[in-house]
Amino acid sequence: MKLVQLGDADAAACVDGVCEVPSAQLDDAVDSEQPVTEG
Amino acid sequence: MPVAAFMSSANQPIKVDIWSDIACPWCYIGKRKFEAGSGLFAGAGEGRGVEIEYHSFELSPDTPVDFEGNEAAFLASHKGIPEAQAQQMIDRVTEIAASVGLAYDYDNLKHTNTVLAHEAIHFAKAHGKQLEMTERLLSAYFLEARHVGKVDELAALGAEIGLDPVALTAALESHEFLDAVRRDQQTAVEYGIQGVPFFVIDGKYGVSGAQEAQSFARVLEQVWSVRDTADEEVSA
Repeated sequence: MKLVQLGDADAAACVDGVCEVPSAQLDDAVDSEQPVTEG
Repeated sequence: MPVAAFMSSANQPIKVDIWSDIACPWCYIGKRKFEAGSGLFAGAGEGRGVEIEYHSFELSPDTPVDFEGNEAAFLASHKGIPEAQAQQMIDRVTEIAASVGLAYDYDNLKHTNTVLAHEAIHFAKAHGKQLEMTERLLSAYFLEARHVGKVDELAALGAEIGLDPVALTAALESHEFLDAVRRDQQTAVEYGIQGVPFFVIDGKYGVSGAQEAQSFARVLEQVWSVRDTADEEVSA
């Protein structure tokens, strides 16, 4: 029963009981953080 | 040649079999995104429909019914990472869930074994309410901090969507639908499914993960456009 794979291969899924945020999304989260401006 | 061979599938709804677990944050997020994507697909032309059937997948079958500890502790021990890092992941998933209108309540969530919940979904399927029960249990687990690993709670949740709680209790206590759960899991193995959510379209095309709504719509569009062409394959 071989399936033809469609869609984005890196989309988020839970595997072996672990549901983590894909690294790309974590990077996005870090990138989106604004630096703190002091003073 | 059998009569069925002459029948066109062009006007039949696209069949989507979805493997998912109740204790799977990406499955609920993916459900919302798939619903949005199938809405985009259905709205783009006449006579388009999508028929959905859910299938059981246990991400962590060794989880006890009453897990001691919070979700970060579970994730940390399962993945072998510091609890702070696990909490960071949970915070991010919570943020993404919020972006599709789901207010995950990880502070109060009751992590549990989900096999009984899957049996309850199969009971609901036998009574024509599989989609309602799947939504009810995901909501109960992620949004309402209800315990979905116990017979009495599952019976109460089933009653909320119109199932007979007495019959559901009897089915859960006798494990009437455990074989159906195991058959779903066996099919997942045969398909090579290793993570959820996983979508099988028309029994032929596989889509893994909580894709964006537009991606789901595009995939459905691809399948719709080639489903009558037996030898043609869609490409990713």
